Amino acid sequence: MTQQEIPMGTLEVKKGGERAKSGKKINLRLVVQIFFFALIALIAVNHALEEQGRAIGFLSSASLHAVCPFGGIVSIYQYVTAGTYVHKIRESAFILMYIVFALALFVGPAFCGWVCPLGSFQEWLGKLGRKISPKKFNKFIPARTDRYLRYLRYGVLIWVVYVTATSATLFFADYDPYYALFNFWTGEVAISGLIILGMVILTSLFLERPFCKYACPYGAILGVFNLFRIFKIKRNISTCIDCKACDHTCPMNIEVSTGKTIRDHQCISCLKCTSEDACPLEDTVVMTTGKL
Amino acid sequence: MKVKNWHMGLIVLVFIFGGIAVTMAFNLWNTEGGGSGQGSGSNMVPVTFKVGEFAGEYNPADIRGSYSFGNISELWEIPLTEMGTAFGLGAVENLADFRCGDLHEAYANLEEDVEIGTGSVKAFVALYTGLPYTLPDDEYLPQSAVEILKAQANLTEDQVTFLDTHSVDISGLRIVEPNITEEHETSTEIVIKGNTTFGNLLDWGVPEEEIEVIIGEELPATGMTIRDFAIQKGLDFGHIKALLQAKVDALGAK
Repeated sequence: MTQQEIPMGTLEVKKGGERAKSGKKINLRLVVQIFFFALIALIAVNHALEEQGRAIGFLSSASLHAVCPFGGIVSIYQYVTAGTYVHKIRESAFILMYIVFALALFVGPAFCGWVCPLGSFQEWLGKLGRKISPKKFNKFIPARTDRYLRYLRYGVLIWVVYVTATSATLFFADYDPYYALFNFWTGEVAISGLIILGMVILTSLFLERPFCKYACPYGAILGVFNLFRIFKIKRNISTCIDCKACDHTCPMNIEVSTGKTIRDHQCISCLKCTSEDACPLEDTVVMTTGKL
Repeated sequence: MKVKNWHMGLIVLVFIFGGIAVTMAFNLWNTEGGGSGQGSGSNMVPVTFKVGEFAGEYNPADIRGSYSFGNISELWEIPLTEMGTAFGLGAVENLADFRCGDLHEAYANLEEDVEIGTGSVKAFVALYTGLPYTLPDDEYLPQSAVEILKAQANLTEDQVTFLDTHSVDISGLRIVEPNITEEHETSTEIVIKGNTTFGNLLDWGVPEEEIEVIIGEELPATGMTIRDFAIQKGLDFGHIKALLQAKVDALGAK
């Protein structure tokens, strides 16, 4: 059996015959994802409690619009032209927008891969989908079609920014599955938001992160940072055995094994493809600034 | 330098919470209402237009639910009585203290899908003063406001069309006057809300010293709401409210 034919899951090959990974490691990314998911869920509940005068004191009771960095982006036009924010958007959303931009400049869209609760939610549903159809999961859409569909989210971004700028209202809240996910129980969510959330839940059982790939306007903006981010995912072609473990594990279906530096606009900096995780060889797929 | 998983976890947490902490230290972090303007109570200062022929003028888009009719009358130089007539609130005793956010409650009897609220006030002020504002599709103006605008303002054809399609006849409507300052006293359980003032706290028997310990400085004007104070100081309203509520509850238990 050649190295290229080694099946997934049984790969033990390492540079010099050694295995880099040993023992059970804590999935730090999962811990961070759960933390942010729980934090946002608690803030959403606390916001509702505050309106009843029963808020938990030590926890923020801000509305979700105030702690969503995408709110800053949709409000930019109004802020520049009139000096005001779109209704329901606060300074905090603007500040978070700057913070996430700075983060993306360094390490790419880590917000998507590590923080975004809707991304995490889809990922967790995907684990269930992977059990339902282990072979077909995340491969339902032909690669060629999929490649073009990935640009849909830029259309969504333009639509959201344009309509928000011209209407001066946070109209996307009526379609936003993130808002629907954390507010479905409040009665404040539009039926369109609930329908889209339902579609995201359903498609997450067949595809990894479907909303992130095809529709997320925020992911579209952060994805651009992949072109010039400081720390990039790089593949050492001199040590790579072309086992494609990196390709198979990438939630965004990026073909990591075909390039030296990953600049794909869909990368979410989850680090699943790296030598710390899927890649069986040490220092072969890494996030770095320097040359390999 | 290579970024490993634990580096990334650390970077994410440091960027987000570090960034928030720094902006809080500079009093920039604000998750509550109150808008991008500054001040509170009678000291409300809305943002101004930055460019164009209206540069320097107060922007009606910055009117928030916490703005009282008195604030608006003063800032945009619209006679208070005219505002009261426009919104059918001529009989309200303290019209100057009536807040835009209270309109929803006042017009609670409107039919579904028709709303008169803060957006309606923004539209009224913008049309009355001739200042630019994107008219909201989902908010309506009382017929009385439309009549005043048609008589007093220089309206474009589009604006007249908007008014004709977004007016509500309130003549037969029973307007629910919100009980802003007395609701706490009439309630069996005293609850601090967004419109609770420091004066209310003193009236309920919370000692001034205890309030000052919680807010970390001298008691501000008694007419100032706790919420406005928290916004002005960049503090978490929910947190302060919980601490003060505990003091109020403790008084009730004695």
